Amino acid sequence: MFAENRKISLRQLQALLLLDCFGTTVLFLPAELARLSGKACWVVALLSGVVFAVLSLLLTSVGKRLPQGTVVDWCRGCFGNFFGAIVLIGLAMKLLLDGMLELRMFSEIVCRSMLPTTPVWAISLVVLAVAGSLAAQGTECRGRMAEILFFLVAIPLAVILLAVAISSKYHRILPLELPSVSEIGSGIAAMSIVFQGLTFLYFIYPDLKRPARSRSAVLKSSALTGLVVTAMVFFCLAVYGEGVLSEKLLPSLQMMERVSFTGVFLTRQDVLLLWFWMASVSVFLSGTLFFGSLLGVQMFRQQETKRKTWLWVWLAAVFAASFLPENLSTAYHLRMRLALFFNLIYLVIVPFVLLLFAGKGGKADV
Amino acid sequence: MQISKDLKKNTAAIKEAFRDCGDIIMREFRIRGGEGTLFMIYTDNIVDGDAIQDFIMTNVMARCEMQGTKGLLQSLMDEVISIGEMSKITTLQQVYDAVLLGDTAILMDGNDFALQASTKGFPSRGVNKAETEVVVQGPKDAFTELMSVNVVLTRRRIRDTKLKLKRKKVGRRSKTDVALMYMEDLVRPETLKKVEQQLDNMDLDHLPDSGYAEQLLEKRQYSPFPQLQMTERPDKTASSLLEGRVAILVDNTPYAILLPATLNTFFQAAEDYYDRWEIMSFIRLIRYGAAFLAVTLPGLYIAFSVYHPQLMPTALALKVAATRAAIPFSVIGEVLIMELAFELLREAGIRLPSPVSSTIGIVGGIIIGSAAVEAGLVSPAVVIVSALTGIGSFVIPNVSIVSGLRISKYLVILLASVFGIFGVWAALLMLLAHLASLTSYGIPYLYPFCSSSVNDDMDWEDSIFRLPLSKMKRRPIFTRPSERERKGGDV
Repeated sequence: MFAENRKISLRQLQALLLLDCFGTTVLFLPAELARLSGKACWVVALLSGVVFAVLSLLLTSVGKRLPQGTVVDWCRGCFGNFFGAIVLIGLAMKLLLDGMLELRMFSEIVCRSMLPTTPVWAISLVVLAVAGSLAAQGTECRGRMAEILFFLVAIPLAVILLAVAISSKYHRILPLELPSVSEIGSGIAAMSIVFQGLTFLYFIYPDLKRPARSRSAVLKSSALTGLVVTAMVFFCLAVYGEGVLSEKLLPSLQMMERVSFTGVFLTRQDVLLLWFWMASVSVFLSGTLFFGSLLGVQMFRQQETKRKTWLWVWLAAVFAASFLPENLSTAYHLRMRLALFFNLIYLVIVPFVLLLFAGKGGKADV
Repeated sequence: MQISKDLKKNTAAIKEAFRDCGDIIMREFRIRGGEGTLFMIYTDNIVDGDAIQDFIMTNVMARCEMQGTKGLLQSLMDEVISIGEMSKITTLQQVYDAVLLGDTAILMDGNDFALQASTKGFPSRGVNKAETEVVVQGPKDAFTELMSVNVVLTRRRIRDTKLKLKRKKVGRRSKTDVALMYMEDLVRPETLKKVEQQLDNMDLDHLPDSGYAEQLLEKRQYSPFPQLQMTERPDKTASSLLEGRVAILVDNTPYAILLPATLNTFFQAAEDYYDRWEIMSFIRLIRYGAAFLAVTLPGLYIAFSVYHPQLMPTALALKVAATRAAIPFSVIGEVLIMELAFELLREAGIRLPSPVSSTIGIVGGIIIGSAAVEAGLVSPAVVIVSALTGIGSFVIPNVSIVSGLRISKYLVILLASVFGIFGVWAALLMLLAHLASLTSYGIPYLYPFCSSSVNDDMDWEDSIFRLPLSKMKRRPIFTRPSERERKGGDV
């Protein structure tokens, strides 16, 4: 049967990638880009999106050239047992870092905007419970959930962005400025956090129904993510201008909240808009937990039944680690620094080396 | 134990087995003044008395006078007893089973086999109107407790030799008749094989109802959501068979089990296809909206009233606050009281005899409605919320999915009570994750809302909305892939 075979379709892969990439970073990014590159922030976002769409081809090409085996087999085959283990431990740390920071930042945002008297740890527990329940069910369940959530997120988001596009005035965009090389570099570094979901491409290949066609699917998803983020940066700039935008805390949310639909029953739409990020953060965290537990099973060559044990380990680790930053601001700056470092290694360097290895006829250590 | 040629041994064993069974009738016939003996046994009141009298006894007695013992039993079967279904049985256990099933067994001295004549005549209430799946337009007949009648009601709607029926007996003691119906050329072979295996492996004393079978056939028994569909309608059963699904009919149950089942199938009513597509699409949308309300409305009310009053328009927030001013309970307490009271009313309404149940509706409405509000125990807003939640659940055509939604509602209430609207989202995501993890014989439960690319997204045409019948040219995912296209261009 087409279900119960632990395989996901390309459509589900695309939905997963889009939701994994649409994280809390998108809330802060327009302000960060405006600080880095002023009026050219939206051009930086656009160019960065193109760069990451191309970079996504690195990992998909690795999967295409090494169809046998898992990421553990790839790394051991390419780097040897010792250095392969170091690379894999680094990958696990990247997953942990991305997960814990995403969890902390989202919990802080929910606490500030919706539940000021509720402890952050309680909110984090609930988010982890949702993500954990999804991770426990496996890849197929994540794929199906993403396919449904995509419509529940994308359609309202598209409507809101369209409304913003219609209601905005664009004089703050003009005159059109182009970014300098250093601004592009800084922008790419900032945008890399948006594409943290591409890390899951290390793990997804054994679970694809048609891995041979995954390159174009991933390219389209990455390009679409870049376009959506560019649109959000563009509209934020149009609404606030570069000066005000660079001082905003959650400009994406506030930009969307400005849209007023006639007859809408509720006020304060920003609280409801957080639903988009609730959905995407849950899916992203479930990916962290699922692939983290899978990595543990594969690294220690254990039976699949041990995955649930590793899941509990990862749940505890992500929850505990999420309290390392003192507050939202610390978490944000930690992310901007450490995440950049890990993204450079695991989205650029390691895939490039693996591709070279595969190109020279190397085989996974299955 | 094999049937012996010595009739005395057989009758002794039979009498011992049916000792103290006053409804078992045993009759001996002498052949031509004592040449031999015939022994007939049946169960009183579950046989067709006229058939026994007219087709068996009269003819057998006449033949006994004419023919000697030589070859008599065989000739009774071949030439004398004019009953459609007759067979030879060779063991005493088969005799017992036949008699308890409502058939008549005939044994004779000198023969190591017996005759089993179909003389079933169970008392039955006749074909009535559907009670739980009422339609405005469309056939009104419903299944009965007699499996044979249910098979007939289905067969008359599908006059195709490809409609197959496999009989099984389930239950060590009850030996309940179970019929597996399917379209041979449409059903997925792997689904049929799995169902047959499950039925063959079902080891229980007694199968009293198809609900037992439903729970034992489900893969995830701890889920509150049904993974198989039950229906009392023959037209729905026939339509499902033509979609490649399997129907299981259980004797003594006026419900058929349809499998596989997806969440979407529970929102489809029989009359969705008997009326125009525009209105039926609108009603489908209402059903899905009603299901959403049935699960989330109480939780949303708690979230908005307690945690996020600033989300509501000021006038509404003030109104709600004003009506709650003198209420002694918290919002959460109020909602729980009303929801539980509604559950009590619902259960009372089902159990009471019909002359009294309408009274309960009026009394309950008065007590829960105006009296409770006037006494200041609950606010009018909560009464409206509970009423809308209940009405939302009644809109859904299938009772078993409503049970799942009723239980899910309390998860939403619990999380909303602690975390406000964030809790509502978390509950909904958990529910969605659970539903996404369910499958029914290999089909994802949330199909076609997920994985619809398998059938080229064609199953969306009969999901939240329904396309015109002339556009529905493909059978759904339940059918084997080679038969998805409906032949001839017609629906």
